[in-house]
Amino acid sequence: MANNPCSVVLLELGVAAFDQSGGLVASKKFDNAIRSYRLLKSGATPDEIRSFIEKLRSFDPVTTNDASVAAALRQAGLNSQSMPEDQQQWIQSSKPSFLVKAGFVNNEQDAMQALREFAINLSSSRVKEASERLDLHIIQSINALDELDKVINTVGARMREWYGLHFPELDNLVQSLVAYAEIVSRAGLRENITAEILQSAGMQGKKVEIILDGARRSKGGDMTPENLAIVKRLADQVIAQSDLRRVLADHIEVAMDTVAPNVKELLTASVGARIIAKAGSLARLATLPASTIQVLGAEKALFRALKTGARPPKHGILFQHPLIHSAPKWQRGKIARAVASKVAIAARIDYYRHAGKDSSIQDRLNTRLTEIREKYKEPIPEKERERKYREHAQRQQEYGGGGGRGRGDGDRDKRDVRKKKDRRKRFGKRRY
Amino acid sequence: MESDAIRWISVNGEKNAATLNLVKGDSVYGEKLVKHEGEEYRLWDPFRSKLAAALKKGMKNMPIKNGSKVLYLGASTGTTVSHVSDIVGPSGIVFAVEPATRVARELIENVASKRKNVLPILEDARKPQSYFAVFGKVDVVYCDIAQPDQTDIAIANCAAYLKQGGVMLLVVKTRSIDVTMDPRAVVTQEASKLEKNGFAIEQIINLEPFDRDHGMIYCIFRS
Repeated sequence: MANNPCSVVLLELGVAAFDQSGGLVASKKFDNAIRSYRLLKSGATPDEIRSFIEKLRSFDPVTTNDASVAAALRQAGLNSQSMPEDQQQWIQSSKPSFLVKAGFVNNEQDAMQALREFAINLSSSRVKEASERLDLHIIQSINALDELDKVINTVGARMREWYGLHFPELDNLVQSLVAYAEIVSRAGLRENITAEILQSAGMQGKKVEIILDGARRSKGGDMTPENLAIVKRLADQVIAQSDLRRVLADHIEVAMDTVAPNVKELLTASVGARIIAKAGSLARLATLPASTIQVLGAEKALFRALKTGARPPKHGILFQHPLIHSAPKWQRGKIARAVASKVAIAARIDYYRHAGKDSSIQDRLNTRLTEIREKYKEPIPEKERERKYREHAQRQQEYGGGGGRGRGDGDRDKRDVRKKKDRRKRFGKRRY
Repeated sequence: MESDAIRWISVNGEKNAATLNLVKGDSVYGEKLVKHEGEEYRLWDPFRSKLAAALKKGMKNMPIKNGSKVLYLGASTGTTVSHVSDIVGPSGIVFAVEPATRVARELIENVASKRKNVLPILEDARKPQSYFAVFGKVDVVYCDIAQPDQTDIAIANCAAYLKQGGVMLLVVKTRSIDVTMDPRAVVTQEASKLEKNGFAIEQIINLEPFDRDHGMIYCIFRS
């Protein structure tokens, strides 16, 4: 039955098939245009066009203007091909008239209207879908957590300061903000502080005695009931906000397990969430190079380094990782680089594979960490370090890239190519 | 200015552009509505919109006119799109491309759903072939995207959708291309890239003081 061609055109509102002379063979207007259009684009065949495809059985070959339609036709066993470029362009440029010809709309005016409606609905459905993504909720959670911290600290400091007018000694005796707030909230005036209240606020043994003793001989002034009432309410705020903070932290912990378990494994939930927040989404993090991840959160320092040739930052948010901030200073850059490279891989696994934890990344990171700790046990003496840095800067200049380069370097393109090749050679085998 | 939809209106001693409001009484992003010769105009803030800045900085002629078809890349929340929509009027059309869903939400709510000549497209400008619902060739491509390869993206879009002799307005965000280079050198470099790709440069406008390190290239598509 070969050589009985027809062409299938995917339009926003449905699909239509035309024979050689341009006559309409079959058409199907989508009942739910947005759903069917998106289904098609995602590689599936929506049910509503199955009977339409059946009507094309007698044609061979079937050409089409859309790759996903071609795939759907092929799946149904038809000999389908892509339309030549110029024909596709022609369809694209006369789309309103095609919509009329296919019988989806009455005239071109309606066609434009329908296309616009389609565009708005499709865009809205995408916006809606994007707002449901779990990583966006993690980003909101971690940002809320950071802001709560600020609030708790400022309100807490104010409460301490204010209550300090009445019982100044308490400030030095109770470190924890929440414990302090609980004492203020439950006892109020210092003479009402009891051992029981202190114990329930987490004070133990001798501490209780010291505080009670302090209350008895305090140098603080008296406080009116009105003032005390407000301080108490501040204290209640601190307690409530701290409670909320805990809920948020727990939530992030759980959410990270489902959204980015590998990133969480490497960075802990909070640092991992902050990295995702800084990148904008897990999808974006998964496409970032390790070098960028390494300095996320240190943009100011990075751009200063690029502009002035100063030393680039070693770490941004990653500094919050215990591995890095507890490491000796001279190892931090190396550890940050190793961690960043693993985070890059972990994010990709989380985003593309969705297959839970992969412990091999952690293992490889540990291997590298031991290596760094052994090889760089002692800091390089400053003189030596300066020499190395200068040499490095000079090398960069020779190759025409990176730090210390003057502005407006001529012949840059060629040099950049050479630089890339040389780097490969210098670093040899990739380790990840 | 040849388009009737643009007027220069004096506010507090300073002349500012304003566009004829297509949707009466509707202020899109908090801009002032003013009556002028019995018509309602929306003031166009050059600090918020680079196209307004370019007009104020002496763009020789405004390629976007009544009835124009415009492909707008980097629509964002639709501040400038709304003014472009005013200018092209009911007979024109604006295809507004924006990949980020967060800002597209506002684009759809505040601009596209109210203005019948705006068609929102949530796609990455790097893939012009994936734009749905776009038809025909356009008269003007306006490109305002902060990407290192913004010029290449603009060229690819023009190749797909700009008609012969059509105009492209390219906002060059020099800091997105190379922070270390002199902004003026970046603009010149991008301009020569355009020339190599068959564009004739008409005018290069420096957007200072409205936008730092930004330039606008006005060019005509020849091949």
